[in-house]
Amino acid sequence: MPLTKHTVYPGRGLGMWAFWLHRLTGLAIAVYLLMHILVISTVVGGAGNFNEAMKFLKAPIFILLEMGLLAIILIHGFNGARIVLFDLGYGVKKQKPIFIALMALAIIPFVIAFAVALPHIFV
Amino acid sequence: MSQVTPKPQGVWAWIWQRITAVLLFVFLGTHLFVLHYVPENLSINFLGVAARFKSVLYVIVDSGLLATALYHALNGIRNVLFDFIADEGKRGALNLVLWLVGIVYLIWGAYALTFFVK
Repeated sequence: MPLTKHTVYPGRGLGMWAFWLHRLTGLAIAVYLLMHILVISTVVGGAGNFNEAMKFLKAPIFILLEMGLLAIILIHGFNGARIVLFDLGYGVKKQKPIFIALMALAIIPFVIAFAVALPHIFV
Repeated sequence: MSQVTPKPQGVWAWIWQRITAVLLFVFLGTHLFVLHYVPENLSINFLGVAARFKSVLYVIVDSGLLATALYHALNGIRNVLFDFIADEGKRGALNLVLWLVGIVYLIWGAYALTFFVK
């Protein structure tokens, strides 16, 4: 079948939101990963610069951004579990409630992490 | 609206995307938990990282994480962009660029990971 923009992105419902959310969060994490590897690998340059960079990245704004990153990773990871499940042949017909259930489940680790990060955000 | 009929892309990239997904769910979850939740690891500094990278277990797990995350991320970028690129030549060029980025990152990352191993 020939592909058009319409046939690639046909839907309008919750499943389409999940699809777009997965792509956008995926791209965001990919960009972060490439930065993350570069930043952490500067550890080979010795203690001075590395410690200074890590201290800089401990500012409340970065902790807040990391909470955003965690939310993005959790959305991508939990929705990814749903995709793998479907590819194995399970649950396709219940895709909407499974999406809602997994997103609800993802809130739990987020809240726990947020509680840990809170004292570092409002110092 | 433009209509295109791209060549089939084969199934292996799709299968590997799923395999790396499952691996990342476990190992990235562990990575986040160990490095950002366990209290004694919360302060990330040179001595801590250097000490961690002296541990062979950390280096093995992190090398696996490096390769797995790079594959999943770069192939994911490819999956998204291929929906917007039909031209075989451009697809080939994108493949080449992504492979190069992946290999350079893998080599640099492996160098950094093994830097403190004696």
